[in-house]
Formats: sequence, C-alpha cells, structure tokens
Amino acid sequence: MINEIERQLRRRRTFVGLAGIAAVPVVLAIAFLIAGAGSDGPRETGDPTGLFGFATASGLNFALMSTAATAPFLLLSVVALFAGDTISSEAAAGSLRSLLVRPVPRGRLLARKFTVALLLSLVAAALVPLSGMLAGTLAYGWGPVITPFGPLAAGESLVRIAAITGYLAWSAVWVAAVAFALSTTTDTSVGAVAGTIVIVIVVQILDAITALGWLRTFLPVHEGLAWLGLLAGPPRWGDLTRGVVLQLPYLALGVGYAWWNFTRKDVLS
Amino acid sequence: MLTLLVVYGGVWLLAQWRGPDSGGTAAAASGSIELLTVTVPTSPDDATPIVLDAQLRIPDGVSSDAPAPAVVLLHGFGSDRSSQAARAETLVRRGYVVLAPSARGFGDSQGTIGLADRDREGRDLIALIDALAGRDEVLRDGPDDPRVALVGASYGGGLALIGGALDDRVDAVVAITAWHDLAAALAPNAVGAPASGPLKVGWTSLLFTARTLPSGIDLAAATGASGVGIPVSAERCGRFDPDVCALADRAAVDGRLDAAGAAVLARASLATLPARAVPTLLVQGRDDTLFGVDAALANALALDAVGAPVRVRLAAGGHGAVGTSAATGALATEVDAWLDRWLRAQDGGALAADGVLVHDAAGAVQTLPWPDASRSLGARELGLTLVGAPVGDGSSAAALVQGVLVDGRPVSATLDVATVFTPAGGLPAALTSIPGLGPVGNLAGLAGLSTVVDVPGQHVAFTGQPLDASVLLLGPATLLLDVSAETGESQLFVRLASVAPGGLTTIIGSSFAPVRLPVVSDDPARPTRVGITLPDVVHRLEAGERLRLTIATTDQAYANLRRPGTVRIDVTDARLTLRGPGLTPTVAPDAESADGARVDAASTVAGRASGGLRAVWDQAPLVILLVAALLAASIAAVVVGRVRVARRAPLDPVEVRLARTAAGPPPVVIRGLVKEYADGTRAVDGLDLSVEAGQVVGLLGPNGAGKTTTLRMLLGLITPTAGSVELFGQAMRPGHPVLERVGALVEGPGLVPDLSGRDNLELFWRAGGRPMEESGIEWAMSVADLGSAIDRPVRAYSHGMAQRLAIAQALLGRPELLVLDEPTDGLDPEQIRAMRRLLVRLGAEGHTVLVSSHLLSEVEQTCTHAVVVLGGRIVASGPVSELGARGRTLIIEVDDRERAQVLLSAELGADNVALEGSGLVVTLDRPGRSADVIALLVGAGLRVTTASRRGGLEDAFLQLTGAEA
Repeated sequence: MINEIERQLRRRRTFVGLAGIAAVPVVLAIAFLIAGAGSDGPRETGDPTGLFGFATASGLNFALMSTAATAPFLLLSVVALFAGDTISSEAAAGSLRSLLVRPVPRGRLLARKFTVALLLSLVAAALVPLSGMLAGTLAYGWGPVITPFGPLAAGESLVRIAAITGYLAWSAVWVAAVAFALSTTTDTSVGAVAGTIVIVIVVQILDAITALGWLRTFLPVHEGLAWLGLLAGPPRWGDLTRGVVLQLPYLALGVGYAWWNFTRKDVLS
Repeated sequence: MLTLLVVYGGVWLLAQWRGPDSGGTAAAASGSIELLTVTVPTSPDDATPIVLDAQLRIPDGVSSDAPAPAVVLLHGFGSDRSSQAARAETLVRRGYVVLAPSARGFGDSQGTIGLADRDREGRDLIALIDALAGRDEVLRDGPDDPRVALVGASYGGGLALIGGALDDRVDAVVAITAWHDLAAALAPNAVGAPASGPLKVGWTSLLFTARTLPSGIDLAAATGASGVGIPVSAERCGRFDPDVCALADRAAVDGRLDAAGAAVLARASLATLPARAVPTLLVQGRDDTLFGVDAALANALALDAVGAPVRVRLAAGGHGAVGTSAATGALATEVDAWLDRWLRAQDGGALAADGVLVHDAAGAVQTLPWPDASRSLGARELGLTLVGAPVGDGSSAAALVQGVLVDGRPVSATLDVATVFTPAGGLPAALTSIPGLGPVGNLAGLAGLSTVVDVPGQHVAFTGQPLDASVLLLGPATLLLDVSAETGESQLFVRLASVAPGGLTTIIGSSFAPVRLPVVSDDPARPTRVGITLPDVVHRLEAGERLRLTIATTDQAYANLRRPGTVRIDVTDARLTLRGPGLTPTVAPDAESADGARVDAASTVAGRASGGLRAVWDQAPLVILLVAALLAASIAAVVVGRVRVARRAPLDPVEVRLARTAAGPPPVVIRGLVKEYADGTRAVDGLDLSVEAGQVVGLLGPNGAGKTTTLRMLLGLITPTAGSVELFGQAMRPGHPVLERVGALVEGPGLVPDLSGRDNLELFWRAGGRPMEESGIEWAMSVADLGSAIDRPVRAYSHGMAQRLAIAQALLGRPELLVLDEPTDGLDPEQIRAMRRLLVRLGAEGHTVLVSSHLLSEVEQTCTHAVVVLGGRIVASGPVSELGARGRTLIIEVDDRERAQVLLSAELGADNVALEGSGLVVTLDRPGRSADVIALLVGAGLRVTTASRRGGLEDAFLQLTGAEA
C-alpha cells in the first residue's frame, strides 16, 4: 500500500493534478483581488450555491466558494484522472507486466490501486478548501463564515467545511469507480480519463433534464449540491444521506466490473 | 516549498496592495472597546432586575471634545452581540460610536427570550439609549438626547423599528428583513379574515428549535447562580419565556395561532404601534418567505403616513442572504450612506433620487412614482430600488403613472371547475420553499429541488398566454374565487409563477398566499366567494413568458389540514388582478389541464385513488435505491469473500524459500498449452515443454512463432485456452506466490517512466512484499551497469539502458527461474557479450534460465538446451550440441579437393558438393552421414585436414523452419 502510494505520488500527473486543483483558489483570489468583485449581491447568476456572493467575507468563506467552484466538474475530472490513469498508464508504459509478474494476486493489486486512487481523490478534495482558506485568509482575513443560511462561527465552520470536503470526496466515488472500470479495459490512459469525463458530462446533462422525472433521482450527481445542507444552522441530513447511499450501487458496479475484467484479462501490453 | 511561499505570499501582497476595501473583515479591532452592563426591569409589572450585556466601541480620535454619532447594532434571533463584530468594526472605522447589546435571553444577557415585546425588549432599547446619553463621546442633539441610529436585521430589524417608534431620540432606523405584522408573517391568511392562517411550520420550528440547540443558548447562564433565570422546571423551554414557549408549542400542535398567541405577537407588531417620523431605510429580500416584500411595503406606508422619510430597498435573495449582504456585502454601503445622511447630514451618492428607482438595461436609473394612485406619497421620499430588472421603453413608465390595473378574464369553459383533495394527515404536501433559502424554483438545482414539487390531485394550475412584451409586476395581486369543500373547512395555497418558454417555472418573489377558510360552503351548487390578496411582489415578466396561477391544498412549509376531503374550486367567475406598469391584457389565465385534477365528480374518486398510489410511487426512488444499495453490499461481500479465499490459498513464503534448497519438481512443466484468440488465431497450439533445474534453455523461433505468448502464459499474464503450466510443481495462475521464485523480462522493459532507475527497482521489489535486504539490488544494479544514470528518470533512458535496467529488475532477489524474452534487444555488441557471460554464469551457479530469442548464435553460445518453436508448436528440442549435430552442411579440407569432389559427387550427387575457398562444402542427405563421408574420403587415401559442420544450430534451425538460407 505504501509502495503504491509512493508509486503514485512520484508520478508527474499526480503532482500536476494536485497542484492544479490547489492553484484554483489562488487564481480565484487573484482574480477577485484584481476585479474587486465578490460582494455584489447575495446571489450571482450561474451560482446555485449562493456562496460566490460572500466569497470575500472571510478566508473561510473564500474556502467555501473555492469548494463550490471546483466541486461540480474540476474535482470530478481530477478524480477521473487519478482513478482512470492508474491501471491504463501502467499498461501503456508496460510496467503493468512488471507488477503482474510479482507474486501478488490481481485482486489485491486492484484493491491497492483503487484505495490509493481514492486517497488521492480525498487529498485533492481537501486541498481546495485548504488552499482556499490559506489564500482567502491572506487576502480577506480570518472570520466567521457567512452562508445563505446565516453566519457560522469560525470554529464550527471548520468542522462543517471538513464534513463538506468528506461528502464531496465521497460524491466523487462513482467517478472513481467508473474511471477505474474503464482503466482496466484500455491501455491508453487518455481513453480511460477522457471517457470518464464524457460520462460525467452526459450524466450531468441527464440530471438537468427534468422530463426524466424520478429516473434522475438515481443519477449519481443528483445530490451533488446536498452538501449545502451542511451549512444550515442545524445541518440538513436528508439529501446528504441520500447522496451518500446513492454512490454505493455505482461503486459496486464500477469496482465489480473492474475486478471481474481485470482478474480475467489477458495482459498483452 | 519556496514555490508555495511565493504563490501564497503573492496573494497576501496583492491583498495588501489592494487595501482593506477589497477585504471583508479585518483581523484587528479599531478604537477602544468597553464592556457595558445595563440593568433593566423584567417587565413593567415585575421590577426584578435583568442585566444586559453590551459592548461599546469608541473610534480613535473620538472624545468628549470631538464627539461622534452612535449606532446601536441589534443581532438576529438565536444569536448574540458577537455576531455583530464585523459590522461594528466597519462602522467604527467610519467614525461611529457603536453599541452592540445582546438582547435579553441571548448571549451573556440575563432574562428570557421573548418576541420583541414593546414593554420588554422595546424598553430595553430605551435603557440602552439612556446609557449612550450618559457618554460624553456621543454627539448630543440636546440634553440627554444622543444622536443615534438603530440598525438590525430580522429580529434585530423588528426591534429597531419598535425602538424607533418608542423613543423620539432615535434619529435614524435601518430595518433589514424585518416584519410588519408578526402574526400575519408567521400565520398568514390571504383572505384577510381575522382568523389565523396556517402556521409557517418550517420557519417557526427553525426559530424555536433554537432552545434545543447548544449553540447560542446557554442554559447554565439562564438557570444558574444569577438568580434571575427561569425555573429549572422550564427546561423544556430553555431560555425562552414560558409564555412564548407555550405559544410556540400550541401553535405547532394546532397548526395555527390562537387568540392568546396572536395577542402576544401583536405586542411585537408595528401594525399596532403608532409610527413616528423617524427616517427609515427598509431592506427586504424579494425571495424572502418569512418576512416578504409586503412587510417592507406595509412598514413604508405606515411610516410614510406620519411623514417619515422612507426608502425601501428590495434586493435579490431570501431572508438570510439579504440580511448578510446588508451587514457585510454590497447592501452595507447603502446602509452606511443612509446613516451618513441622517446622522451627519451627508448626502451620499447612493441616495440620488426620490421615488421608485428602477435600473434599465443600460444601468441608467429611471424614477417612477408609487404605482398605486390611491396611496398618495406627496413630495416625501418613498424609494423603491429594483436592481437587475431592466424596464422596457418609456411607454411602460407612462403606463405606470396611470396605475394600470389589469383584470383577468374568466378561464375557458372547458375547465371551469376543478376538484382537488386534501390528503389525510396533510401529507404528502407540495414542496415550494425552504426556510432561509426562498422558493425552491429559484434555487437552480439546489439539492435536487430545482422545481416546485406539486402533488398530483392536490393542485390545479392555470397558465396564461405568452406575453408579447415585458411587464413589471409591482404590488399585490388579488384573486376572486368560488370555493366549496366537503368538510366545510378548507386551506388553500395560491401562488404565482412565471413559466419560461423552455418550461422553467419560477415562483414570483414571495407570492405564496396561504388561505385558511375555517368555514366554507359544503354545497358545490352554492360555493363561497373568496377574495384572496397575494403578497406584494416586485417581478419582471419577460416577453414570451407565461404567468401561472397554482392553487394547491398543501404546502410543506405550512401546517396543513389533517382531515381529508375534496375541495371544489369554481373559476367560472374568477378574477385575477395584477398590478404593475405596462401590463397587457394577454395575461388572462387560460385553462391548462392540471396534473391529476379532475373536472367531473365521477372521476374524482379515481383521481384520489391514483393520487394515493402516486404518493407511494413518489417514494419509490428511495425504496429502489435502498434495494440497490443492499444488492451492492451483497456483491461487495461476495467479492471481498472471494478475495479472502484467494489470499488464503497461497503458500507460506517460508515454505517457498525452503523448497528452493531441496531438489523439488522441475521449474517449468508445460503440457498441451493452447492459446486461441477471439478471432480464432492459435498463437500457441498444443505446446509441451519441460525445463529442469540448472538448465539454460533457449526458446527459438521466428517472429510470431508463439514464443512471447508462451512466456506470458508461463507467468500468468494471459490465461491459456487449454493446457497447463506448472512452476516448481505448482499450477500457475495470475499472481501466484510461486512467482516469488521467478524473475522475468517480457517483451521489452516495463518501467515507470517518472521514476529513476533505482526507484523503479526498489518499488518493483517492494511490491512483492519481501524485505529490501533480500533483493540483492546492488548486485542487480552492477549488472545493469548504468553508472550515475541509475538516479535519473527512466524516461530519459535509451532503449539499451532501459533494457539493462529491466534485466536488473528481473534479477532482483536472485530468482531460481529467470524468464527472459529477447534480452539482448537493443544492446550493443559489448553489452550482448556481457549478457551472454551473465547467462552462462547464472547457469553455472544453478539458476534455471528460459530465454527466448530469434538470434541463433546467442542461444548457441549461451544455452545448454534449445527449443525450436514454429506455429505455436515445438518442432525440435534438446541439448544445443545435439541440435547442432543435425546440421547437414559439412566443410571439409582435404589435400586433393578435385578428387574428393569426384568421389563425393558420385555418392551424394554433384549438386551437393561444391568447391569453396580452400575446401569443399558438402550438403549431406541426412545429418548422420558425416561419419560415412569422412570414412569414404579416408578410405580412398585422401588426407582430411579438418571436417566441420557449418552453422550448426543455425543450419538446423533453418532446416526445421523451412526457411531458405
């Protein structure tokens, strides 16, 4: 496991993925500072979370805004990169052969790789608020969080932000599972990663089609904004619970397929 | 690390350069801070003292010689004065003395929480202003009359309005998201009857659950040693006043306010308090579902009636968002301007004109008078600023001046009576809004609640024709309906929405009109005529949009009736009246078949039944989801179980290592191996092979013969179609522990390009789970002979370097069986020689080596045994010496070449004997004839100097594979 973590951490794409997502809050901070925007009314167009309007209220607010900005797509893309690249890139480089001629069952290899991909995804999810907090506090100072539900004390906010990060990381599990499944089917990492991102976009489009009715409620992104409930005075758990459960079938399907495919696969690369 | 420092340091520097204006809150507090305690009586009837906790902040430079005006900051419900710290800081920086108290029952103040009672919380404000009057740092308008403004949001806003009405020393009021009539806000009834409407249970439970929350409410402080707290027996109520607590509980049970409750709330209502002419800024959220636009306009009219300068600022957003924006966001500057104007007589730019201010598309301000001509405003100020909703051309403004009223026409005759039902227990109910967030339809995509959820059978909707021009709705809408209910009691929820051409439905502002009809006709033939007033709205309908009127029996935000029954809504004579400039008569509602609503009585029962079924069906996604989750869990359990089983099977590594010393089963036994691909190609077709310990076996064959496929199956990389592979006597499968004893290089180096050579070796070794000491990594690296390149990333390696590293990788742990696929590929001649020496040495040391190659000389010089593969089968195998003996070309040097040629031509045919160089080249008809040929020549008296077989293995190979030399 440590071995696999080290293997991934030393990969250039890991560094690029993590540095890229951590840079987003910095870029946003610079943009906000230069444009002087961020407090013009509580709800800006195209912001379903209502958090952009309060971005400059405090460092913690800025962290929340960064989270809101990256959660719908960028985080999912980075997760797709980490999980989709993990097997396919080894296949492309030929190093998968080297791994498979070691006395390690393929199932265990998969488990390690998937666990590490999930860990990296969690790190990516956590880097956004951390970087946002750092950049936001440097730019706008430390203070309580202001949310569409009202203010939250700084200490309490930290707990809430941690919980939100956890929820968002878990909400990306289906992406990891899909990417992982694709990763076992192709020897080109671009195929697995791009394929996953296409699937993410398609699912998000489907979720936006109200005519689909209750079918939409099964889409893994359907509760993508439920984390806002964690900002309410007493947190609202209903959608959150549903969002958490919603990941399980996709996780099982994705990982199950990856396992089924990879343990039987002829490694020709 | 340095990069991080530069990046984040850059942000900090930029923030410093941009200055504090771009920031929200500052860390350090300005001026001096003083904690005040103000003692007040519990109530006019109870002189028991209560100590209020307050914080007084004096800006730098303000003293008795240079006094400044004061601002009292009032916090919201469930909070305390600490929530005002950021706001206080900005005001202190603007030079105001700031007094921030915690209201009684909140924070460190004593007493119990009430609902802004004018004789309790109201008098507390007077005492606080008294305290300010005693401070020399505060500017005075007269003896004991400080220059002071009251500023607050929600609960604090209501208190500010009450304070402004009670104390004539107040010079300005800013009431943000405040109520007008608290009873009407919490239990509205749009028919205007004296009876209480349905309770906004969502909001009230949000407000009153504060008593069960640890944050904001300090039970110990309320019931502790201070002696003025509430009795411990009132624990259920926390710090709430027992009367208020009981009122909240009764209302929650009944779903409406009783007379006693209404009386308590009336004491907090501006509606019953004579207004005083104090300049007042009213800030309200257009989507506020607790205290709507109507509350701000009602307050404005009451204040305007007594001549107070009033400005109404309507902002986008709901209750919480607008309150926050007014404290720290964009609206705060407008609040500051209001304070500057009335406390310092400075006219800020934000207060440019009087009247209704509407921004047009270009951002220019248009000034319009109040739309309702009956409400005279005279020359006094009543501003209504609407941001972000452009008005059309000048003709709209002209129409507004006349106060156009547009009457709705009756709906078409095809659907003039709708029957809707109230479900038993009031559930399921329509979901239209979330307390604190506003109408759900306006929260694009929030938590999946992107659209209003109306329950089939419980609502009827009428949608108008698309508008041909943009119109602004301003003020209240009214609706006349004929209603009858089988239970003689009814509760309806009326709301207006706009429908975009794409179908997106947006609830208009806070125009939810809950209607409670405690007594209504139960005779469908003689329905009760009901006049409904929808709350004031400010909303622009764009061209192409349609207006939708929805009448429902339930709403989750309210306490719904629990008795089931049908309600008949007769719209034959219905009239919908909208107010606003530029309205065209096309907004008249046209009938639309409503989901589940049925016209005739016969189908009502069916409609109800299907409604019930649908209610169950609505829950179906959750049920199916749970089933799916269970299924997923069981699949996961099976998978995990199988992985566990697979883990249990492997041999103990100790056992494996012991086996290596004993003379165990042969390293490689392959029987009947077949690999057939999906397209029918047989890469390997019935291959049998056995490699004994200590052998160095060369696997020979042309490209595509099946060598690599065989080696892949040997290592478990691909699954054989048929046949078996045993390594050291163990049946092979992917990742088998016996691979511990095998080192492999298959089809080129498989290295991680981002890692250095050394890291590749280390990570590869550790993946097997054995300690680093057993790896022999130094030896392996010396074999690779990469020098300093071992620490460079592999991506920079040449093919030969990568190949050598891959061989070193295969050598890690000094495996008993070494499987090498084309190991000399990409090596230069010197390295090929070194490779040969290595293989020979490994063989000599007792390692077993299986090496594939298409280079015969290599195999001939290094291998003890050779196997020739062709078309997926073995065509020859054995010791290299024996195989080489199969060569049929003999080179003979003899003293008389010409005679020898004649002799041999007679024996073997002239074609098979040729002169070449100094000797003869003889092609034998079979390998074993070389001795016969030599005997023939010697017997003829010729002197044979040398006789050698040319090419040896190569010759044999070429013959076996049928290729031409």
